[in-house]
Amino acid sequence: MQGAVSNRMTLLSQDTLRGFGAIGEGMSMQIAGDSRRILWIAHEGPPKNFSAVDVSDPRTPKVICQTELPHNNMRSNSLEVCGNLMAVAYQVSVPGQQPAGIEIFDISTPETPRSISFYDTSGPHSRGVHCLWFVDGEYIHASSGSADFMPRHPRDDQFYQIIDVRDPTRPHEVGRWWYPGTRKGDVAPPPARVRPQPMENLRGPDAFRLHNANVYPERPDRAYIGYIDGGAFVLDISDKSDPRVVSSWNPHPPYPGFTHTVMPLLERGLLVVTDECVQDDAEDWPKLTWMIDARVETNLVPIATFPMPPVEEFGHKGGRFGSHNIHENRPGPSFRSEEIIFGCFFNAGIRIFDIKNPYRPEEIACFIPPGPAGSRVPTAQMNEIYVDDRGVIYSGDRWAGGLYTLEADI
Amino acid sequence: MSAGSGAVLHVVYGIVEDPGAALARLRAADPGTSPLTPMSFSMIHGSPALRLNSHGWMNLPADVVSGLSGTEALLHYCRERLHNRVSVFSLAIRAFLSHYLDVVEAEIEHLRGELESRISKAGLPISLGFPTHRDFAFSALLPLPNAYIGLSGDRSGGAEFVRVDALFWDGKTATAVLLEGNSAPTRSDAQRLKRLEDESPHVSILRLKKPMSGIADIARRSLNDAVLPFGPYRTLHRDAFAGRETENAPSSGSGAEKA
Repeated sequence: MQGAVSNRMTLLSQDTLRGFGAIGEGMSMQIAGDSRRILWIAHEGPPKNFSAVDVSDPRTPKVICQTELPHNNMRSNSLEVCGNLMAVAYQVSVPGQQPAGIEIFDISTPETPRSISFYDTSGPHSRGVHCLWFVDGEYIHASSGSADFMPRHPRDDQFYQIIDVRDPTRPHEVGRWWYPGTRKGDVAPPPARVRPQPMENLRGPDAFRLHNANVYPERPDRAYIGYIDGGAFVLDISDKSDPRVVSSWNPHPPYPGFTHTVMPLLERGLLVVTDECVQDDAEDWPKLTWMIDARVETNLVPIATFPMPPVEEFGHKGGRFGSHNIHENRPGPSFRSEEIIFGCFFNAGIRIFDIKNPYRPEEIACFIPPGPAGSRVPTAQMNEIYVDDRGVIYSGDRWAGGLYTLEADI
Repeated sequence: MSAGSGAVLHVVYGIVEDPGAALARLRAADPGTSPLTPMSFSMIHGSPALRLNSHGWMNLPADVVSGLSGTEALLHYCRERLHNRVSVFSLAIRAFLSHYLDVVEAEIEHLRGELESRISKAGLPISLGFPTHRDFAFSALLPLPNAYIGLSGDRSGGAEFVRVDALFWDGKTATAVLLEGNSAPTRSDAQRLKRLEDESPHVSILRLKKPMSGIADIARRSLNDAVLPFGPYRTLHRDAFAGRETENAPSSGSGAEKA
């Protein structure tokens, strides 16, 4: 690919998804009944809801399904596939709008997803669901508002909800947790703002709300959650109706906020924690990926950050520059490793790290595509990443570039 | 034997980031490096089995020895030294080492009658209590944790290695242990492992799932040919038990086992 920067990575294909190449934070793979590998992708915003791409041959991906959102004041952003079920997050632009919540689809026939239920989390102060995690076929772990939750600060509206979908036609909430002090009526005082921002953008930084909640079958009694400016939390969810804090770690302040993902490496007693870059032109630099010693889960100790390319080279190239999503070792047809970490870093592309020595994470490969045509910024903004069990890497551009499939010589 | 002369298997083990550089450093520091050091092993055909009582894998200063009274304390010391060879984040390898030594100790209790009979046959009355059947624990095969095995044909100083979770050498076969867990091998890791399997007939791969039932066989094999127990700190001359301790002999090549 002309203009790409590559080290030990090879681009296999790029597909702009029928001209709707803005990809959100949802990529999840289904092995269909006929053995095809279908990558389901949530779009970053309207008008598209989600796309299904046959990536059985990653060199020739084929869009086999693409759906529309009900209106343009909403986005899906996040989805997860478990077997032949898919859960899709719906987040609206303005609190009170609908539909806000989670729609569950039967995707047995990938070309024609069939809606089987909708879990409504709309409300006067709710924007619905931003992100969800669904890997066990039983529970969805979501970042959402709800009709009965009135946040003290409008941007603190999405909290941790556990939704029972053992009967996927009747999803219902079984537990919730929110950062103490963020709900009206809480005894705890409201948290001190890390970097106060104007109120016009509800999606922006300056928020104590949930982003990701990761729960793995190996530790079904633990939720690892990124609570944006509130930092990283380990929750005991052995009683789902009453999640309890085991421990937390928060580098904000002095760091500029937005804990995004907390991924445990359970066989090594480590956590990988990312802070999402949410402002262009390095306005919120540095947004780092952290390595946390969690051998004693009640005492989380930061031991390293992942190396980043020079801010003087990337900070002002256009768009965002810094950490964001990582491949989350989810169950399913997914590459799982506690020694190799795959991440996307907006205009710094896709980067792969060897963390055998967690005190010194080492970058071993990278790929930066050129800025795609039609993007609102001059650089590629790599936004989401998934690696399948063949080692094929899938990554999406936030604004226009669509799906990139790659392989790494590692 | 130096680390580079005629070896069929070069191994760097322990807390290692760059095995090639580590091996080069060892060779530069001491061209006559012993076959077994606290972080390396060079195996040739006919090398004696590596056991907990083998000389070289740990340093055991005299002042430490004087503070270790009895089999229990010494075995505990061996456990700690083995654990210290592994990164604090290699929880699976640490669990494997603990489990292996637990199995060894259990196996020794299980075989107590037979082991005491070996001691008696060697002319040492059991009533003396020295050695005891428990001392056979030191005859257990030594696991080299987090072992990087140099691929055969590599004569450049170890540019290519394949990592395994532990390696045993019983005098005939090297058993490379892979603990199946949450990490899939990368493509290059898988290729290197395939090369090892294809090119090294004296290496067998043991893939262990939880629970690690395959360990018992290694522990049992450790004891089959041990005529007498030797703790790693005792100085014993080969001729003291001439003809009786060939497989259990220390590997220092000096004719004596010393710490």
